[in-house]
Amino acid sequence: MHLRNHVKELRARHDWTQAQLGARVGVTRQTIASIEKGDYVPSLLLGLQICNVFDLTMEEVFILEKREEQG
Amino acid sequence: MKRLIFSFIMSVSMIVAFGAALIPCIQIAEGFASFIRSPHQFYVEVNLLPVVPLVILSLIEAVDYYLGRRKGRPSFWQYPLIIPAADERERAISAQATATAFRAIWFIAPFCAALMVLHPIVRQSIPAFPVFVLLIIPLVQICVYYFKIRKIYL
Repeated sequence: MHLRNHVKELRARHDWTQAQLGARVGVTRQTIASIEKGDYVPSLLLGLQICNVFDLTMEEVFILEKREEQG
Repeated sequence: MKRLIFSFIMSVSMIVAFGAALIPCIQIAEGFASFIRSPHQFYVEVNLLPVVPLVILSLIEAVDYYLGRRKGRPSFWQYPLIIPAADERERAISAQATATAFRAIWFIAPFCAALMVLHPIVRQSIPAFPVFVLLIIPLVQICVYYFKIRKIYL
C-alpha cells in the first residue's frame, strides 16, 4: 500500500509556500516537503487538517494505491 | 541544520576534551597510590596541557549559552533533544533516533568490555585506557543519534 497525495498541486493552486502551508496546519516546512515527496505519511489528524485548509475531502487530497509486493 | 552541526561538533569535542582532561587526574591518583604504598616519598608529576581543550570548549559553551539565553535558545547538549520535536514528523524521527542510539549500546558495550581485556597490556603506556574505553559508549551514542536526527532537516 502506498499513500499518494496532491498536496503539491493544491498548494501551488493556492499560491502558498511550503512554510505557509506548514504554518496553517502547525508543522514545519520540512514536514510539508516530506509529505509532498511521499517520504512521510502524515497522521490522520494532520491529513484532515491539510484537507481542511484546502477545503476538500480526504479522497480528493490523498489516494491510497495498492502496490504489487516485490519478491 | 547549522545549529545541529555546531551541537554535534561541540558534543563530540566535549567528550574527547573531557577524556583528555582526566589524564592529569589519573597522574595525580597514581602519585597518591604510590604515596600510600610507600609513605616516605611523595612525588607527583602532572602535565596540565590536556585540560586546556576542555577549558577552551567550556568558554565557547559559556559564551554560546549566554547569547542563547537572551534569544531563548537552549544550550548545545539540550538542543537536539528538545528543539527537533516541533511536529509529529520530528517527534517520530526523534523517537527513532533515540531507539537506534539505545540499540547501539547492545553492540558498543560488549565491544568496550572486550577492549578492557587489553588493559593489563597497555596499563603502563596508556594509564587512561579505561577512561577512553568508557567514553567510547557516549561517543558512539551521540554519533548514532545525530546521524539519525539529521533527517529532520533533509
